[in-house]
Amino acid sequence: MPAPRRSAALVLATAVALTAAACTSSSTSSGSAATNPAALTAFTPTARGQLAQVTWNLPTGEPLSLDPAKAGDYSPSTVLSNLCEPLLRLKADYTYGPGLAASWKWTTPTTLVLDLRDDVRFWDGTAMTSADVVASLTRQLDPATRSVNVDALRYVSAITAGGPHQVTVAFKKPDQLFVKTLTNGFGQVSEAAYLKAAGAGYGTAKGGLMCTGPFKLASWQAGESITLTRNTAYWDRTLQPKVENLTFRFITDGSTLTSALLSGQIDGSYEINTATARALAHSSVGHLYQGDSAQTVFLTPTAPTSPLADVHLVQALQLVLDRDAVIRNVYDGAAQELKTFIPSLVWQHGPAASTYAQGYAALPAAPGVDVTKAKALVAQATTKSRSITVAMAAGDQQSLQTLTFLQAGARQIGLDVTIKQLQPTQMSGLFYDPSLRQGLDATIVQGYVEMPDPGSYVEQMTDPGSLFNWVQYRNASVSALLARARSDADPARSAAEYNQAQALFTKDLPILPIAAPDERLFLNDRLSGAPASFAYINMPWAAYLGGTGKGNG
Amino acid sequence: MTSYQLASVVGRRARAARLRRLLRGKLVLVAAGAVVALVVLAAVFAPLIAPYDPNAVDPMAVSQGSSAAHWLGTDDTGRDIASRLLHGARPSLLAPLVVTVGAGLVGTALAVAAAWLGGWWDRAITAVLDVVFGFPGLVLAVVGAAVFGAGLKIAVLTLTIAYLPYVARVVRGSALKERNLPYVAALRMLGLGGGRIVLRHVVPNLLPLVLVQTATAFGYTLLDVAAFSFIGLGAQPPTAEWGLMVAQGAPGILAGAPQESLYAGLAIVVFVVACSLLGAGLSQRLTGGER
Repeated sequence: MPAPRRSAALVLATAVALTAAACTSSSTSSGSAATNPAALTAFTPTARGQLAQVTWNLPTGEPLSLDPAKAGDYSPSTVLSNLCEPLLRLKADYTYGPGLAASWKWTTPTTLVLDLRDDVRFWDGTAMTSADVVASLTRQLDPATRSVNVDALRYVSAITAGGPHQVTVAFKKPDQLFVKTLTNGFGQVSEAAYLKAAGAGYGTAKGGLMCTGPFKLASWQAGESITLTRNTAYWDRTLQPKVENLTFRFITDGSTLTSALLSGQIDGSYEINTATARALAHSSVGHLYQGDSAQTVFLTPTAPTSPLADVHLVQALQLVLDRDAVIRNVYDGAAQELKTFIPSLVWQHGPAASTYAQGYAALPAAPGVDVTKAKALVAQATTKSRSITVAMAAGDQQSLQTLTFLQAGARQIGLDVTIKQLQPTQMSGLFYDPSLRQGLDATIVQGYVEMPDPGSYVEQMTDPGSLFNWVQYRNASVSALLARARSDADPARSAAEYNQAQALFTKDLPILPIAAPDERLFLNDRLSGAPASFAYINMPWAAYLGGTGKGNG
Repeated sequence: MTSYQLASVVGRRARAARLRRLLRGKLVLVAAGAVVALVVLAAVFAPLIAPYDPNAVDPMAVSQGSSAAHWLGTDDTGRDIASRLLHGARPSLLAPLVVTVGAGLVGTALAVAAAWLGGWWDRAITAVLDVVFGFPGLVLAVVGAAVFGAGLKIAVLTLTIAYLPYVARVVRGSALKERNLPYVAALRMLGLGGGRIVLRHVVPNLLPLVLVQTATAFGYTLLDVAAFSFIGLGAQPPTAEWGLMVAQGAPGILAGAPQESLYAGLAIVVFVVACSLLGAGLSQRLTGGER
């Protein structure tokens, strides 16, 4: 019988383990290997010099599309934020300011006027005008565009050009959230003529892009790499890119990424996981930075029939999951414990920060472990089922660790948690395709709040008929308060209305907040300047990147 | 020295060398058998000898090295690695056992049927086996996981199908030889029916070969089952299974906590080598080297 041909990966892992064992102490503890959480930074030290080439990694893999209308995930947004610019620009502290729109003004409660910069040119030299902005925004109304931000247009009645550099947006009812939506993929501007010519191929490896950002799309070799070159005619003189060529690779395996970063084959990466962070913590080739983040990890039921649609069981699980232990062991301390599932960065530096802070402080403290109380809650649950199948992405060690802790805790109160590992395409698909949620009761979600506003994220899970309201949650007061918060022009009043809604949905929305992980960024010593905050996701982060004078320039 | 004395010395040396070879072969065989027996005993008595519940997490003792409390340390959720290795021996051994026994039984039945019936039966069975032979086990496992979901049962089923042709091909060759031996013709002349000849005479004569095949395959099958679990198509968390343990411990290798992957990997390597040596030894003794 021939030797099996299918075990190379296993043997390799064993060999690596043996080698590693030879090189490491036999006794390790979480403390000694920990990354030792540092103070959070918004920016890495300012870059001094030019760099000919930087190779960057996208840990969540190759983007499916670079069409700004479809960008709502880590990989496409990380690349696109350097190519296509939004009308308003997100800052590292999650506030926002002028971008391609120099200013904006509500002329009536339902009319927004955007004044565009008149010195912006697309990569092909064509001047950006209001026609490009109108085309970029209105195409997202067309179902064929399959925009992930179509909800931003919910209250919009018309988008028209008020002049060559002015755009007027008319609303059916006031919508303050719209302005904040202009900071992400929804507000990114593409050239109208190019959009028309490219059609459905826009943003693909074949169809390409035409935008105004600090970098141009040079090539996209499917399955291999995406390369950007700097835009030497970039309009923002204060943010001229210092990197000539920026190549993205798609390494999703943590061990491979660790080796690539340590060997210098990859210069940097956002979203460094804990195991990689441990290996890089004392590296001599670069620095690991921690920044504020708008990411959130929680457990949510996937159907109204799920046992976890009964809020008693969610609260019971909350009482057996030691979240301090999760933050300490799964994230090495690089995460924050939350009372709700919305990370505070999204409101912390905005105009109504103090009001939001008061609302957050008024929420009941995150509960500690209390098995007796948890058992009592299980007894109160109306649902009879005690088996819960939870989905997670295969290979996501942090989710697996978290769910293993949850599984052990659940066993103490008579709940049987089964972990189902899904392949990445299945996992991302289940958020949009109900058929992929069949047979599941819950899923662990690692997401992020893209806009500097907490209400937008909550609405998607609480509004009847919303895309992510899988349990058919209905609370008229919550919906009414969130709607008022969305339309209120006064930031403090809007925040107060959100706070009232928050006090309600925190009690009855069946969601189990787990943690808000900090942003972790690794930079090779030869480069610096990139933002360390999670705001990079919608910032032209690579334009800040440059040389330090160390290593090969 | 006379030619008699010379012949005597040469003869003594040759006998000594033969003895040494025999002893060495036996020693290896005994050692391999002892390892296999030890692991089987550990699997059977795991609940009695494991110091901890294999799924009991301990947030205060995560990724620890060897100590008096945890002989082989703990994994990234504080579970005792020694206890998980002991309990993990059960699915790690049972799954390949089911595969080898299943593939052995069905493969032998198909091979003997093809050889005995001959003609288009032989051509049809051989053709089907050739088709199955063309699909690597991994492809079958991926298809099985896509249709029925990943899990140890599906991995076992697909591996059994993948291993069938290996067994059937070897056994069919021997069965064809057996069918043409004079004793079969004699039994026919005595008036015995085909079924009786096959079951009472042909199959028992093929048994040593099937046993050797099974023993040799067992180690490889264990490696395959572990590989399937390693890539997420076999055992699912929180099951303690060696391949899955190698995978779960992999992120810790570069982070300075290689113990989970290391010990699970060692268990696989040692057991597979022991099985191979045992299979080779059995082959020598039962079939005189015929494989």
